Amino acid sequence: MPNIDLEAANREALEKLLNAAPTLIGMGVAREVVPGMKELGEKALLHAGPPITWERMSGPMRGAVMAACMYEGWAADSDEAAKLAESGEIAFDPCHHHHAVGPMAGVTSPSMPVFILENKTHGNRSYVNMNEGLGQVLRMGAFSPEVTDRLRWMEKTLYPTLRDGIAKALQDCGGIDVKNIIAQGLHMGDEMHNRNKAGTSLFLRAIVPYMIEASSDTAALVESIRFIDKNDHFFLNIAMAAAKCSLEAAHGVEGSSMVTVMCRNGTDFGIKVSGLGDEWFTCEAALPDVLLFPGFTKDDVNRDIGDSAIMETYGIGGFALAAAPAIVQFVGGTPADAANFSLEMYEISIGENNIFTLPAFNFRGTATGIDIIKVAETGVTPILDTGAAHKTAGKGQVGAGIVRMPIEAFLNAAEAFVEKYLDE
Amino acid sequence: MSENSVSSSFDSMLKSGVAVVNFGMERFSSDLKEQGVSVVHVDWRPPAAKSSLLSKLGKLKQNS
Repeated sequence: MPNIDLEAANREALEKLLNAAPTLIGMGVAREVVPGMKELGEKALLHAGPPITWERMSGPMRGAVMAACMYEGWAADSDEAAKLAESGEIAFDPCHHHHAVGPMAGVTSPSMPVFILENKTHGNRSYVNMNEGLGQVLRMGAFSPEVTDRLRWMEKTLYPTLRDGIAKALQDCGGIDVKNIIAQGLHMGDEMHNRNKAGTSLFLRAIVPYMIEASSDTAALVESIRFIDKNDHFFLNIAMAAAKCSLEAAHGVEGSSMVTVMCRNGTDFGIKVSGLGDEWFTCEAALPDVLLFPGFTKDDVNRDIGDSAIMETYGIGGFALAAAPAIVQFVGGTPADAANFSLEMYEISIGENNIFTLPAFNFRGTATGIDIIKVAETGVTPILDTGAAHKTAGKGQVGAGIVRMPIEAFLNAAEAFVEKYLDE
Repeated sequence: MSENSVSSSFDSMLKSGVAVVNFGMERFSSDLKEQGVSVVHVDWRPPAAKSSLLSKLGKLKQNS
Protein backbone atom coordinates (compact mmCIF):
# COMPACT_ATOMS: atom_id res chain seq x y z
CA MET A 1 0.00 0.00 0.00
CA PRO A 2 1.54 3.34 -0.98
CA ASN A 3 1.86 6.11 1.53
CA ILE A 4 -1.22 8.21 2.00
CA ASP A 5 -1.99 11.86 2.55
CA LEU A 6 -3.08 11.43 6.14
CA GLU A 7 -4.08 15.03 6.64
CA ALA A 8 -6.19 15.16 3.47
CA ALA A 9 -7.85 11.82 4.29
CA ASN A 10 -8.74 12.96 7.80
CA ARG A 11 -9.97 16.29 6.49
CA GLU A 12 -12.24 14.45 4.05
CA ALA A 13 -13.61 12.14 6.75
CA LEU A 14 -14.22 15.07 9.10
CA GLU A 15 -15.93 17.11 6.38
CA LYS A 16 -18.26 14.21 5.62
CA LEU A 17 -19.10 13.97 9.30
CA LEU A 18 -19.65 17.71 9.67
CA ASN A 19 -21.73 18.00 6.48
CA ALA A 20 -24.11 15.18 7.40
CA ALA A 21 -27.72 16.25 7.90
CA PRO A 22 -29.41 13.65 10.13
CA THR A 23 -33.18 13.91 9.89
CA LEU A 24 -35.94 11.89 11.55
CA ILE A 25 -38.07 10.64 8.66
CA GLY A 26 -40.16 7.78 10.03
CA MET A 27 -40.70 4.78 12.24
CA GLY A 28 -41.19 1.09 11.60
CA VAL A 29 -41.02 -2.31 13.24
CA ALA A 30 -37.43 -3.57 13.58
CA ARG A 31 -37.90 -6.88 11.73
CA GLU A 32 -39.43 -5.04 8.77
CA VAL A 33 -37.15 -2.02 8.46
CA VAL A 34 -33.74 -2.73 10.02
CA PRO A 35 -31.52 -3.96 7.17
CA GLY A 36 -30.41 -7.57 7.55
CA MET A 37 -32.41 -8.28 10.72
CA LYS A 38 -34.96 -10.56 9.07
CA GLU A 39 -32.12 -12.53 7.48
CA LEU A 40 -30.77 -13.41 10.94
CA GLY A 41 -33.83 -15.61 11.50
CA GLU A 42 -37.05 -15.43 13.47
CA LYS A 43 -35.34 -15.29 16.85
CA ALA A 44 -32.77 -12.53 16.36
CA LEU A 45 -31.60 -9.94 18.86
CA LEU A 46 -29.38 -6.98 18.16
CA HIS A 47 -27.19 -5.76 21.01
CA ALA A 48 -24.83 -2.92 21.92
CA GLY A 49 -21.09 -3.03 21.41
CA PRO A 50 -18.83 -5.32 19.42
CA PRO A 51 -19.87 -8.96 18.73
CA ILE A 52 -20.38 -11.18 21.77
CA THR A 53 -21.73 -14.64 22.60
CA TRP A 54 -24.26 -15.45 25.35
CA GLU A 55 -21.46 -17.20 27.29
CA ARG A 56 -19.40 -13.97 27.50
CA MET A 57 -22.30 -11.57 28.06
CA SER A 58 -22.34 -9.53 31.26
CA GLY A 59 -25.27 -9.56 33.71
CA PRO A 60 -27.10 -6.50 32.34
CA MET A 61 -26.74 -7.73 28.75
CA ARG A 62 -28.11 -11.13 29.75
CA GLY A 63 -30.93 -9.46 31.68
CA ALA A 64 -31.88 -7.40 28.63
CA VAL A 65 -31.83 -10.54 26.45
CA MET A 66 -34.14 -12.27 28.94
CA ALA A 67 -36.51 -9.26 28.96
CA ALA A 68 -36.57 -9.26 25.15
CA CYS A 69 -37.36 -13.01 25.06
CA MET A 70 -40.33 -12.46 27.38
CA TYR A 71 -41.48 -9.36 25.48
CA GLU A 72 -41.41 -11.32 22.21
CA GLY A 73 -43.31 -14.21 23.80
CA TRP A 74 -40.40 -16.63 23.21
CA ALA A 75 -40.20 -17.39 26.95
CA ALA A 76 -42.68 -17.27 29.84
CA ASP A 77 -40.16 -16.31 32.52
CA SER A 78 -36.50 -15.42 33.04
CA ASP A 79 -35.38 -19.05 33.60
CA GLU A 80 -36.98 -20.15 30.35
CA ALA A 81 -35.45 -17.14 28.60
CA ALA A 82 -31.97 -17.96 29.91
CA LYS A 83 -32.33 -21.59 28.75
CA LEU A 84 -33.42 -20.40 25.31
CA ALA A 85 -30.46 -18.04 25.04
CA GLU A 86 -28.10 -20.81 26.17
CA SER A 87 -29.51 -23.24 23.60
CA GLY A 88 -28.01 -21.24 20.74
CA GLU A 89 -31.42 -20.78 19.13
CA ILE A 90 -31.15 -16.98 19.20
CA ALA A 91 -29.00 -15.14 16.67
CA PHE A 92 -27.07 -12.34 18.39
CA ASP A 93 -25.59 -9.55 16.30
CA PRO A 94 -24.33 -6.03 17.08
CA CYS A 95 -26.69 -3.14 16.29
CA HIS A 96 -23.72 -1.60 14.48
CA HIS A 97 -23.78 -4.39 11.87
CA HIS A 98 -27.26 -3.17 10.88
CA HIS A 99 -26.81 0.63 10.72
CA ALA A 100 -28.37 0.73 14.18
CA VAL A 101 -27.45 1.73 17.73
CA GLY A 102 -28.86 1.02 21.18
CA PRO A 103 -28.13 2.66 24.56
CA MET A 104 -26.79 0.51 27.46
CA ALA A 105 -27.49 -3.17 26.62
CA GLY A 106 -28.94 -1.92 23.34
CA VAL A 107 -31.00 -5.06 22.90
CA THR A 108 -33.37 -4.58 19.99
CA SER A 109 -35.85 -7.35 19.28
CA PRO A 110 -37.83 -7.98 16.07
CA SER A 111 -41.17 -6.54 17.29
CA MET A 112 -39.71 -3.33 18.71
CA PRO A 113 -40.63 -0.12 16.94
CA VAL A 114 -37.61 1.85 15.76
CA PHE A 115 -36.97 5.39 14.59
CA ILE A 116 -35.64 5.77 11.05
CA LEU A 117 -33.19 8.61 10.40
CA GLU A 118 -31.81 9.69 7.07
CA ASN A 119 -28.67 11.65 6.46
CA LYS A 120 -30.05 14.05 3.86
CA THR A 121 -26.59 14.95 2.58
CA HIS A 122 -25.32 11.45 1.84
CA GLY A 123 -28.60 9.48 1.68
CA ASN A 124 -27.73 6.75 4.22
CA ARG A 125 -30.07 5.72 7.04
CA SER A 126 -29.79 4.64 10.67
CA TYR A 127 -32.13 2.99 13.19
CA VAL A 128 -32.73 3.04 16.94
CA ASN A 129 -35.43 1.83 19.32
CA MET A 130 -37.38 4.12 21.69
CA ASN A 131 -36.06 5.17 25.10
CA GLU A 132 -37.96 3.56 27.98
CA GLY A 133 -37.02 5.98 30.77
CA LEU A 134 -34.92 5.33 33.89
CA GLY A 135 -34.89 2.65 36.60
CA GLN A 136 -36.41 -0.76 35.84
CA VAL A 137 -35.86 -0.82 32.09
CA LEU A 138 -34.67 -3.43 29.58
CA ARG A 139 -31.63 -1.46 28.48
CA MET A 140 -30.28 -1.56 32.06
CA GLY A 141 -30.80 -5.33 32.22
CA ALA A 142 -34.07 -5.39 34.18
CA PHE A 143 -36.72 -7.96 33.24
CA SER A 144 -39.61 -7.56 35.70
CA PRO A 145 -43.24 -7.52 34.41
CA GLU A 146 -43.08 -3.71 34.72
CA VAL A 147 -40.41 -3.75 31.98
CA THR A 148 -42.27 -5.95 29.50
CA ASP A 149 -45.61 -4.23 30.20
CA ARG A 150 -44.05 -0.86 29.39
CA LEU A 151 -42.48 -2.21 26.20
CA ARG A 152 -45.88 -3.52 25.07
CA TRP A 153 -47.52 -0.16 25.83
CA MET A 154 -44.78 1.56 23.84
CA GLU A 155 -45.48 -0.77 20.91
CA LYS A 156 -49.28 -0.51 21.01
CA THR A 157 -49.85 3.12 22.05
CA LEU A 158 -46.74 5.29 21.82
CA TYR A 159 -45.49 3.89 18.51
CA PRO A 160 -48.63 4.54 16.39
CA THR A 161 -49.03 8.11 17.65
CA LEU A 162 -45.36 8.94 17.10
CA ARG A 163 -45.19 7.10 13.76
CA ASP A 164 -48.19 9.01 12.40
CA GLY A 165 -46.87 12.33 13.73
CA ILE A 166 -43.45 11.79 12.14
CA ALA A 167 -45.10 10.77 8.85
CA LYS A 168 -47.07 14.04 8.93
CA ALA A 169 -43.89 16.00 9.66
CA LEU A 170 -42.16 14.28 6.75
CA GLN A 171 -45.00 15.24 4.45
CA ASP A 172 -45.17 18.86 5.65
CA CYS A 173 -41.54 19.80 6.23
CA GLY A 174 -39.31 16.91 5.15
CA GLY A 175 -38.93 15.43 8.65
CA ILE A 176 -37.48 16.59 11.97
CA ASP A 177 -34.03 18.21 11.76
CA VAL A 178 -32.25 16.34 14.57
CA LYS A 179 -28.90 18.10 14.16
CA ASN A 180 -30.58 21.43 14.77
CA ILE A 181 -32.15 20.15 17.99
CA ILE A 182 -28.77 18.86 19.22
CA ALA A 183 -27.09 22.20 18.43
CA GLN A 184 -29.77 24.12 20.32
CA GLY A 185 -29.71 21.64 23.20
CA LEU A 186 -26.00 22.26 23.75
CA HIS A 187 -26.84 25.92 24.33
CA MET A 188 -29.55 24.96 26.81
CA GLY A 189 -27.49 22.87 29.22
CA ASP A 190 -27.43 19.45 27.51
CA GLU A 191 -24.33 17.55 26.52
CA MET A 192 -26.62 14.94 24.92
CA HIS A 193 -25.37 11.82 26.64
CA ASN A 194 -26.40 12.05 30.27
CA ARG A 195 -28.50 15.19 29.92
CA ASN A 196 -31.13 15.31 27.20
CA LYS A 197 -33.65 17.50 29.00
CA ALA A 198 -33.44 20.36 26.51
CA GLY A 199 -33.26 18.02 23.52
CA THR A 200 -36.34 16.12 24.67
CA SER A 201 -38.25 19.38 25.25
CA LEU A 202 -37.26 20.70 21.83
CA PHE A 203 -38.19 17.42 20.19
CA LEU A 204 -41.57 17.42 21.89
CA ARG A 205 -42.14 21.00 20.76
CA ALA A 206 -41.29 20.00 17.18
CA ILE A 207 -43.35 16.80 17.00
CA VAL A 208 -46.47 17.48 19.08
CA PRO A 209 -48.32 19.63 16.51
CA TYR A 210 -47.88 16.86 13.94
CA MET A 211 -48.93 14.17 16.43
CA ILE A 212 -52.10 16.12 17.17
CA GLU A 213 -52.82 16.62 13.48
CA ALA A 214 -52.27 12.96 12.70
CA SER A 215 -54.11 11.32 15.59
CA SER A 216 -57.81 10.90 16.33
CA ASP A 217 -57.19 8.96 19.56
CA THR A 218 -56.99 11.70 22.19
CA ALA A 219 -56.35 9.33 25.10
CA ALA A 220 -53.39 7.71 23.32
CA LEU A 221 -52.06 11.11 22.35
CA VAL A 222 -52.20 12.43 25.92
CA GLU A 223 -50.54 9.29 27.33
CA SER A 224 -47.81 9.45 24.69
CA ILE A 225 -47.02 13.13 25.21
CA ARG A 226 -46.95 12.64 29.00
CA PHE A 227 -44.59 9.67 28.64
CA ILE A 228 -42.12 11.60 26.48
CA ASP A 229 -42.37 14.65 28.74
CA LYS A 230 -41.60 12.60 31.86
CA ASN A 231 -38.56 10.93 30.30
CA ASP A 232 -35.68 13.40 30.05
CA HIS A 233 -33.67 10.82 28.07
CA PHE A 234 -36.27 10.26 25.37
CA PHE A 235 -34.28 12.25 22.83
CA LEU A 236 -31.01 10.37 23.55
CA ASN A 237 -31.87 7.46 21.25
CA ILE A 238 -32.80 9.77 18.38
CA ALA A 239 -29.60 11.78 18.84
CA MET A 240 -27.60 8.52 18.88
CA ALA A 241 -29.09 7.49 15.54
CA ALA A 242 -28.26 10.98 14.22
CA ALA A 243 -24.65 10.40 15.24
CA LYS A 244 -24.69 6.94 13.67
CA CYS A 245 -25.86 8.01 10.20
CA SER A 246 -23.45 10.97 10.26
CA LEU A 247 -20.46 8.81 11.22
CA GLU A 248 -21.32 6.09 8.71
CA ALA A 249 -21.01 8.70 5.97
CA ALA A 250 -17.46 9.36 7.18
CA HIS A 251 -16.52 5.68 7.27
CA GLY A 252 -14.44 4.10 4.51
CA VAL A 253 -12.20 7.07 3.67
CA GLU A 254 -8.96 5.46 2.55
CA GLY A 255 -6.06 6.65 4.70
CA SER A 256 -8.19 8.21 7.44
CA SER A 257 -7.35 7.46 11.07
CA MET A 258 -10.64 8.88 12.36
CA VAL A 259 -12.75 6.74 14.69
CA THR A 260 -16.25 6.12 13.31
CA VAL A 261 -17.56 3.67 15.93
CA MET A 262 -16.90 3.49 19.65
CA CYS A 263 -19.07 1.13 21.73
CA ARG A 264 -19.20 -1.31 24.65
CA ASN A 265 -21.16 -4.48 25.33
CA GLY A 266 -20.54 -4.70 29.10
CA THR A 267 -17.61 -7.08 28.53
CA ASP A 268 -15.59 -5.60 25.66
CA PHE A 269 -14.94 -2.14 24.30
CA GLY A 270 -14.69 -1.86 20.51
CA ILE A 271 -13.88 0.72 17.88
CA LYS A 272 -13.87 1.00 14.10
CA VAL A 273 -11.69 3.35 12.09
CA SER A 274 -12.65 5.11 8.84
CA GLY A 275 -9.66 3.85 6.84
CA LEU A 276 -9.58 0.32 8.28
CA GLY A 277 -12.74 -1.20 6.83
CA ASP A 278 -15.06 -3.37 8.87
CA GLU A 279 -12.51 -4.66 11.35
CA TRP A 280 -13.31 -4.33 15.07
CA PHE A 281 -10.48 -3.36 17.42
CA THR A 282 -11.38 -4.48 20.91
CA CYS A 283 -10.18 -4.80 24.50
CA GLU A 284 -11.76 -5.26 27.92
CA ALA A 285 -14.38 -2.60 28.70
CA ALA A 286 -13.58 -0.08 31.45
CA LEU A 287 -15.07 -0.08 34.93
CA PRO A 288 -16.89 3.25 35.29
CA ASP A 289 -16.10 5.35 38.36
CA VAL A 290 -19.64 6.46 39.07
CA LEU A 291 -21.72 8.32 41.57
CA LEU A 292 -23.91 5.57 42.99
CA PHE A 293 -27.61 5.66 43.72
CA PRO A 294 -28.39 5.05 47.43
CA GLY A 295 -28.05 1.41 48.48
CA PHE A 296 -25.43 0.38 45.91
CA THR A 297 -21.68 -0.11 46.26
CA LYS A 298 -18.77 -0.02 43.80
CA ASP A 299 -18.83 -3.82 43.72
CA ASP A 300 -22.28 -3.68 42.10
CA VAL A 301 -21.10 -1.78 39.03
CA ASN A 302 -20.87 -3.64 35.72
CA ARG A 303 -18.22 -2.91 33.13
CA ASP A 304 -19.01 -0.10 30.74
CA ILE A 305 -21.89 -0.85 28.39
CA GLY A 306 -23.76 0.71 25.47
CA ASP A 307 -23.61 2.13 21.98
CA SER A 308 -24.14 5.59 23.46
CA ALA A 309 -20.37 6.18 23.10
CA ILE A 310 -21.43 7.13 19.58
CA MET A 311 -22.21 10.56 21.09
CA GLU A 312 -18.54 11.18 21.96
CA THR A 313 -17.50 9.74 18.58
CA TYR A 314 -19.79 12.43 17.12
CA GLY A 315 -18.14 15.21 19.18
CA ILE A 316 -20.73 15.66 21.94
CA GLY A 317 -21.41 13.86 25.28
CA GLY A 318 -18.17 14.00 27.28
CA PHE A 319 -16.63 16.13 24.53
CA ALA A 320 -19.31 18.75 25.29
CA LEU A 321 -19.44 18.31 29.06
CA ALA A 322 -18.62 22.01 29.43
CA ALA A 323 -22.09 22.71 28.03
CA ALA A 324 -23.84 20.94 30.89
CA PRO A 325 -22.93 22.38 34.31
CA ALA A 326 -26.28 21.13 35.62
CA ILE A 327 -25.16 17.49 35.51
CA VAL A 328 -21.58 17.70 36.67
CA GLN A 329 -22.55 16.92 40.25
CA PHE A 330 -24.77 14.07 39.10
CA VAL A 331 -21.79 12.52 37.33
CA GLY A 332 -19.45 13.36 40.22
CA GLY A 333 -17.49 16.51 39.41
CA THR A 334 -17.36 20.30 39.30
CA PRO A 335 -17.98 22.77 36.43
CA ALA A 336 -14.18 23.23 36.23
CA ASP A 337 -13.70 19.47 35.81
CA ALA A 338 -16.31 19.48 33.05
CA ALA A 339 -14.51 22.26 31.19
CA ASN A 340 -11.15 20.52 31.61
CA PHE A 341 -12.49 17.23 30.25
CA SER A 342 -13.92 18.94 27.17
CA LEU A 343 -10.70 20.93 26.64
CA GLU A 344 -8.57 17.81 26.85
CA MET A 345 -10.54 16.20 24.03
CA TYR A 346 -9.18 18.77 21.54
CA GLU A 347 -5.80 17.03 21.96
CA ILE A 348 -7.07 13.83 20.37
CA SER A 349 -9.48 15.23 17.80
CA ILE A 350 -8.98 16.03 14.14
CA GLY A 351 -10.92 19.28 14.21
CA GLU A 352 -13.67 21.37 15.72
CA ASN A 353 -17.36 21.23 15.05
CA ASN A 354 -18.93 23.91 12.88
CA ILE A 355 -22.45 23.44 14.28
CA PHE A 356 -22.07 22.10 17.83
CA THR A 357 -20.58 24.91 19.90
CA LEU A 358 -19.86 25.52 23.57
CA PRO A 359 -21.04 28.80 25.11
CA ALA A 360 -18.57 28.32 28.00
CA PHE A 361 -15.69 28.39 25.49
CA ASN A 362 -16.90 31.52 23.75
CA PHE A 363 -18.83 29.35 21.27
CA ARG A 364 -15.81 27.32 20.21
CA GLY A 365 -16.82 24.20 18.24
CA THR A 366 -16.69 20.94 20.18
CA ALA A 367 -13.66 18.67 19.65
CA THR A 368 -14.75 16.37 16.83
CA GLY A 369 -13.31 13.36 15.02
CA ILE A 370 -11.22 11.17 17.33
CA ASP A 371 -7.85 10.35 15.78
CA ILE A 372 -6.31 6.98 16.78
CA ILE A 373 -2.86 8.37 16.04
CA LYS A 374 -3.32 11.28 18.45
CA VAL A 375 -4.67 8.89 21.10
CA ALA A 376 -1.64 6.61 20.67
CA GLU A 377 0.82 9.52 20.74
CA THR A 378 -0.64 11.42 23.69
CA GLY A 379 -1.99 8.55 25.78
CA VAL A 380 -5.14 10.65 26.24
CA THR A 381 -8.28 8.58 25.71
CA PRO A 382 -11.86 9.73 25.08
CA ILE A 383 -13.88 10.62 28.14
CA LEU A 384 -17.55 9.66 28.39
CA ASP A 385 -20.23 10.60 30.85
CA THR A 386 -22.41 7.57 31.10
CA GLY A 387 -24.95 5.54 33.02
CA ALA A 388 -23.90 2.42 34.89
CA ALA A 389 -25.81 -0.83 35.24
CA HIS A 390 -25.80 -3.38 38.07
CA LYS A 391 -23.59 -6.34 37.22
CA THR A 392 -26.33 -8.79 38.18
CA ALA A 393 -29.00 -9.42 35.55
CA GLY A 394 -32.36 -7.94 36.46
CA LYS A 395 -31.19 -5.23 38.88
CA GLY A 396 -31.18 -2.19 36.58
CA GLN A 397 -29.25 1.11 36.90
CA VAL A 398 -26.90 1.80 39.83
CA GLY A 399 -25.59 5.25 38.99
CA ALA A 400 -23.94 7.56 36.48
CA GLY A 401 -20.51 9.05 36.07
CA ILE A 402 -17.41 9.64 34.06
CA VAL A 403 -15.45 6.90 32.35
CA ARG A 404 -12.35 6.91 30.17
CA MET A 405 -12.20 4.55 27.24
CA PRO A 406 -9.34 2.03 27.55
CA ILE A 407 -6.35 2.73 25.31
CA GLU A 408 -5.65 -0.84 24.14
CA ALA A 409 -8.29 -0.82 21.38
CA PHE A 410 -6.80 2.42 19.98
CA LEU A 411 -3.29 1.00 20.10
CA ASN A 412 -4.43 -2.19 18.32
CA ALA A 413 -6.05 -0.03 15.65
CA ALA A 414 -2.91 2.12 15.34
CA GLU A 415 -0.81 -1.05 14.81
CA ALA A 416 -3.20 -2.17 12.06
CA PHE A 417 -3.12 1.32 10.56
CA VAL A 418 0.67 1.40 10.19
CA GLU A 419 0.66 -2.14 8.89
CA LYS A 420 -1.81 -1.15 6.17
CA TYR A 421 -0.50 2.28 5.26
CA LEU A 422 3.20 2.56 6.13
CA ASP A 423 5.35 1.85 3.09
CA GLU A 424 8.70 1.04 4.73
CA MET B 1 31.27 28.44 40.22
CA SER B 2 32.75 27.46 43.59
CA GLU B 3 31.12 25.01 45.96
CA ASN B 4 30.46 27.87 48.40
CA SER B 5 28.65 30.03 45.92
CA VAL B 6 26.45 27.05 44.80
CA SER B 7 25.53 26.40 48.39
CA SER B 8 24.78 30.07 49.01
CA SER B 9 22.51 30.37 45.94
CA PHE B 10 20.75 27.19 47.04
CA ASP B 11 20.24 28.66 50.52
CA SER B 12 18.89 31.91 49.14
CA MET B 13 16.52 30.02 46.83
CA LEU B 14 15.14 28.06 49.77
CA LYS B 15 14.82 31.24 51.82
CA SER B 16 12.86 33.00 49.07
CA GLY B 17 10.33 30.17 49.07
CA VAL B 18 10.04 27.01 47.02
CA ALA B 19 7.48 26.59 44.27
CA VAL B 20 6.77 22.99 43.33
CA VAL B 21 6.09 21.81 39.81
CA ASN B 22 4.53 18.37 39.87
CA PHE B 23 4.48 16.09 36.81
CA GLY B 24 2.20 13.11 36.43
CA MET B 25 0.48 11.81 39.56
CA GLU B 26 -2.03 14.50 40.50
CA ARG B 27 -2.34 13.12 44.03
CA PHE B 28 1.16 14.40 44.89
CA SER B 29 0.16 17.95 44.00
CA SER B 30 -3.16 17.80 45.84
CA ASP B 31 -1.42 16.50 48.99
CA LEU B 32 0.98 19.48 48.86
CA LYS B 33 -1.86 21.90 48.17
CA GLU B 34 -3.68 20.61 51.25
CA GLN B 35 -0.57 21.48 53.28
CA GLY B 36 -0.57 25.02 51.89
CA VAL B 37 2.42 24.51 49.57
CA SER B 38 2.38 26.44 46.34
CA VAL B 39 2.27 23.84 43.55
CA VAL B 40 1.72 23.79 39.81
CA HIS B 41 0.48 20.50 38.42
CA VAL B 42 1.45 19.44 34.91
CA ASP B 43 -0.88 16.80 33.47
CA TRP B 44 1.71 14.54 31.90
CA ARG B 45 1.83 10.80 31.49
CA PRO B 46 4.37 8.56 29.82
CA PRO B 47 3.33 7.45 26.33
CA ALA B 48 1.16 4.34 26.47
CA ALA B 49 2.21 3.20 23.03
CA LYS B 50 5.41 1.18 22.48
CA SER B 51 8.27 3.23 21.06
CA SER B 52 8.28 1.05 17.91
CA LEU B 53 4.65 2.00 17.21
CA LEU B 54 5.31 5.67 17.96
CA SER B 55 8.25 5.67 15.58
CA LYS B 56 6.17 4.03 12.80
CA LEU B 57 3.38 6.57 13.34
CA GLY B 58 5.98 9.34 13.14
CA LYS B 59 7.27 7.92 9.83
CA LEU B 60 3.75 7.61 8.47
CA LYS B 61 3.07 11.25 9.25
CA GLN B 62 6.40 12.31 7.76
CA ASN B 63 5.80 10.37 4.54
CA SER B 64 2.26 11.56 4.05
